[in-house]
Amino acid sequence: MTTTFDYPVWLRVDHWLNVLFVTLIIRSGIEILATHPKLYWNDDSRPGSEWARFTRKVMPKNKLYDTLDEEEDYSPFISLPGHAQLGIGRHWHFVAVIGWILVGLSYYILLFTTGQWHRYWPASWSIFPEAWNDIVTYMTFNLPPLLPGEPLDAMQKLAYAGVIFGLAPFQILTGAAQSPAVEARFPWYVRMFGGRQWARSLHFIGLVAFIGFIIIHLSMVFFWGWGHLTAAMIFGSIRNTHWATALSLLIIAAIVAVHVAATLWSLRNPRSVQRVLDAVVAVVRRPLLRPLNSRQHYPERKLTAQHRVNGKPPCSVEYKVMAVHNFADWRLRVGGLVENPVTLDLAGLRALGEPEMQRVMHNCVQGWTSIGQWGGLHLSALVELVRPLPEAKYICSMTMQDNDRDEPSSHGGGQFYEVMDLELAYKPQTILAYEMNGKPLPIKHGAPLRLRVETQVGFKMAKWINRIEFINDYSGIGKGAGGWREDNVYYAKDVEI
Amino acid sequence: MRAGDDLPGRDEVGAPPACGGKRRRMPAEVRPELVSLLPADRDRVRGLLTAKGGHCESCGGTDFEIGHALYLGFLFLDEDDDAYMVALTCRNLECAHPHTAIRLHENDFLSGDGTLARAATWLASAPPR
Repeated sequence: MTTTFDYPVWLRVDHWLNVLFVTLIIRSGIEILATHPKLYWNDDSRPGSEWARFTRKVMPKNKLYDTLDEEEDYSPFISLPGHAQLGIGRHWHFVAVIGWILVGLSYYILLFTTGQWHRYWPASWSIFPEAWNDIVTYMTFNLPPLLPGEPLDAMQKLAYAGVIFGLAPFQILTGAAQSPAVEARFPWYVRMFGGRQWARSLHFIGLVAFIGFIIIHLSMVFFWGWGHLTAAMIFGSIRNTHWATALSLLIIAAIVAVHVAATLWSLRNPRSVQRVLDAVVAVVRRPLLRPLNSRQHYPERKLTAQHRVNGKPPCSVEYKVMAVHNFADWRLRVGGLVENPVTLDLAGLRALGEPEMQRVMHNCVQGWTSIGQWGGLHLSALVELVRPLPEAKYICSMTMQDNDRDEPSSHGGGQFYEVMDLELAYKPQTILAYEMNGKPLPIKHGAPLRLRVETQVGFKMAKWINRIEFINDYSGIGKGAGGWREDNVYYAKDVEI
Repeated sequence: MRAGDDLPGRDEVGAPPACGGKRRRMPAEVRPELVSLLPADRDRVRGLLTAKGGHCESCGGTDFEIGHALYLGFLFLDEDDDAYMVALTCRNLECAHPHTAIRLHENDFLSGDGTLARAATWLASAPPR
């Protein structure tokens, strides 16, 4: 007997592309989770307040530790690419998300224009008691009846509807809420989910739901007949079931091969992955997220009691002696492609303009957040003082931190620096901060001077700054990727997400 | 003084001061990690300086103004748990690099149990409540 399931060709193609992108998203998502394997219901990410943790590491109490110390190294079997390569994991996640959204859009458009949505949309409330009966039937190791004239039972139809119309959009929405640019421009949007860490936790729960769905979906296909159902999803109808079984295994093998290739490429040539994938992501990121301006102003009561830190203070004797003298001998040298290079001490920097104060959320690339009040000079005031030459395109902030000496948990050594586009200097809430929570900037947060660029991920906001250069090319600095973390952990230079 | 705890000159970081003069202005606010010493603490520091022959590396002077202390043990990976740095300013008005410091153990100079001095470093970022 030949049963026509009437799966149009576009739906079948989208289905298999969906398998590819969802699995890439899951593995790269686990890589992102590994870098801060703790989940919270509070935006302070308070140590010890996590509701879920996927690490056994215990942090010291007598020494400053940072969130790099909390990072985990997961196997490439579960994460892409594995081995604590957050930068590469992020590239894969964002590229796969773009692909998944494009597939999803084509799927939605065709689903609704061809009437295929009836296949998945529950038309009657009666489906709920029927679905419950189906669950009971499955639990007694029997197969429930199909809905009249439909290829699915009530439970299956509800599950598909939940994934297609609920879970998939939910994952996109909670993912977007984790972009610092979105969070900075639309704080209300993030609050809608209960806060930034709620969005992250819900995103994780969505991941678990997706994995649960995949396991049940594969079990259903297996129990209802692998050959029959894969035939429907390959040929559009139940025919040539042996061929369908073989082809389905071939398609799955091809998807596995893509994963293996992506993993090997990532682990063997991460710089190439960084360049290629970020070029793809930038096509979407720049027009969508770069125009967003920060409009944050959290109430004082929201300030985090113990703002988390990333990066450790410079261990040099010079730095410590400067610190114990209240940084009276610290100097900021500003030069490069400028008309008026200057050297400033803290008092001179303060005198350049009225301090700006902002209460904002810090979005670490690792996923944690804290809320702090920062005070300092708007970067544009310094730009106006030094007058960049027309060819200046970027601002390079150099710091007193040497990762060989100061950060054993870092992926590499050398002086920490970060490059950002000159245009960001004119964005609202982009400041050179010398105060935090109404006091001089603490040592662990970058004293005496750090950057705050609120639409970017935290690592761009260099701490312990002592030199700023205006440049037109960064390929000759460090390894040429646009910053220490871009050089060594393969992050993107522009990180509105 | 421990090995390596001699008194280095201080002006190798940064270019000549923009504000000029041999005695630099201190920023208006003292940072939250710094701890004021009691007169008895300062006396103990002074005694240690004398006993160990502490002198200014820049001008050779031995007369210092003793300033604040900074608890190093929490903030810096390479420091012992009970390590502090105490600010010293050379009183020689002609000294080119008057800012220096001495690294000391807590029990060597600090009165009391040091809990407040240590807490200053990890509470430095606490918001006003």
